Amino acid sequence: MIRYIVKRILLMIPVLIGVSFIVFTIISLTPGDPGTIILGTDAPLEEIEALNEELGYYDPLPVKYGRWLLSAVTGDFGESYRTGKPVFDEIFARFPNTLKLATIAIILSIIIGVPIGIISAVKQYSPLDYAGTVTALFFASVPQFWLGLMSLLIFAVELKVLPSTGNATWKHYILPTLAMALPCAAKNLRLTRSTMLEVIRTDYVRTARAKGVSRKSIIWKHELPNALMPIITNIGINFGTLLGGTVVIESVFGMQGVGTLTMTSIRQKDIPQVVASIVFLALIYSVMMLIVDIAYAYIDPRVKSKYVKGASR
Amino acid sequence: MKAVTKKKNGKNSEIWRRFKKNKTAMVGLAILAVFLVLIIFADLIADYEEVALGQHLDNTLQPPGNGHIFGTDEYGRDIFARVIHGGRYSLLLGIGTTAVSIIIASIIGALTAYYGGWIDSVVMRILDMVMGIPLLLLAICISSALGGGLRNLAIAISISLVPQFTRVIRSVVLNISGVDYIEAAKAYGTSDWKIIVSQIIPNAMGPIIVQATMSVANVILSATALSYLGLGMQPPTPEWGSMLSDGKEFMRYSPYVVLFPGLAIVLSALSLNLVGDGLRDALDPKLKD
Repeated sequence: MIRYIVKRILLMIPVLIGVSFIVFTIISLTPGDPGTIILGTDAPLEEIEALNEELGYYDPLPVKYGRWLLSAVTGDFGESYRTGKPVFDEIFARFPNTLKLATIAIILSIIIGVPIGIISAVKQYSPLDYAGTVTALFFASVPQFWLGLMSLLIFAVELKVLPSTGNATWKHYILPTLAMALPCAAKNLRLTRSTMLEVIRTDYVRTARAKGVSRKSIIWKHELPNALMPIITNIGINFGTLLGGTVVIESVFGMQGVGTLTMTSIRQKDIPQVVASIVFLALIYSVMMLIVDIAYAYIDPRVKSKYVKGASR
Repeated sequence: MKAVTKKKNGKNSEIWRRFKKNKTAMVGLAILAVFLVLIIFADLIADYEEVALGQHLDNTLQPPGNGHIFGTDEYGRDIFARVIHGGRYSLLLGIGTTAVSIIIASIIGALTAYYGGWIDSVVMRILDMVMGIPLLLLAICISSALGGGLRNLAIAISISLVPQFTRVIRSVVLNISGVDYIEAAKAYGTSDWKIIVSQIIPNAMGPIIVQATMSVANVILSATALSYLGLGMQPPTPEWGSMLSDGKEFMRYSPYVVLFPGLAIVLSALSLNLVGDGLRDALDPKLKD
């Protein structure tokens, strides 16, 4: 098993280098030179030129990227144009908030979506199934930020039961996490229901039923473990969607997170900060995908048997 | 040749027959049809320059009623007119970007899957890298570098969509390439290109159409999110996302400024998802017996 984990971690390195190259290249296309951004448009032209020269702005892109990558490997991701501090200071200060948002949302989306999906599939065409699938269809079509705005309007402005913006107390997290989790829970529900329905119709389930295995035992021992595979894979992808979603949700709720940091840096053309923030979020996403893959390998005997001697069901 | 076309029509009418039986899918199709009619005839219903952009500062933030069925916004513009004109951008973006990315992804996906080997590995590794960036973040990246506006928004979204479509198309093509009729065509000496065009593409269409319908819904959601963040369409263009970000300040006393554009997003995405679900069930009756 260790061999599998090491292999997956090693595979992550080229992907992350590729990701950083893509992000670096795209962000470098942003118009504006660092000299003007740091010194302001009123600064004398010679000073701007001198600073641009010093920062290596006129070097070709591969040189710039190479320099960035070399210092990134040593842990130096550059300084913010606006504050002059290392970019990771700000990211680390804000990351706990973003991580809390995304983690609570992913957990909520699983505990809401998966059980209802299972019940929907087991009791197909029952009123409960209809209620579940219709609600899920609605939430799968709602943009997170609008759900956030509407929940603000109802619970913070009209009913005044929850605080509106900021991230001071745990109460501030209720609306944003729900606004992120519900559309995601809806997708989980739909996926769980359809994979369960597929599994229910397989031969081995039919065999188990013919053998007279109890309904409960079929669901827990035969259907669920098999249906779980695509659901687990999807959780990793959902986490990525949620990380992207934090950018929007944090700005709706005025929260101090990596998402709002990215947006302010984009507005201020603070290039090193933008690159670092997005590469950082992508790194977190790959780590999450790695965890999901490892979990998958533990559960799926087909993958496990490749790496563990004598492993079988 | 005649027999083949006839059979194809038979297959399509069978799909349509199954689709018609699906009530929720038909509801989705009806909502979508209403949207399309409103959007196509938007100019006849409300003049763009006059009603959707013209400011009436003596008539701001009026609640629904009084000649404005959705009310008016902070500049006294009719919200209904802005919603139907805004639908043009959203649906145009949704359909346009999906179509463009499917074409690009089909070329990449079909070629890599069909030829395999090192081309396949290299392309797939590159796509893995692009997919290592969450979709919305990638779109944010690209549109912040390119700047706002319809064209740049379309470029940003299309680039973000290509990798996932390529994966779907590649796996569909891989599934098909192994089957007997392709082997038969190969053995018969048919050229690769002809096999791709006349055998693989028609057989891969089903799953791709379903994906495409759902993708239009997702593009509407992401494009409005980008505009909400100020990276997509710029004011005063009536786009649903930017209407929401403009209206946010006024929602406390005039909730209708954020209610109707949001409902338009939800209903359009919902109708597309319903149609997508219906198509999937109609194309693959195994799932629904």
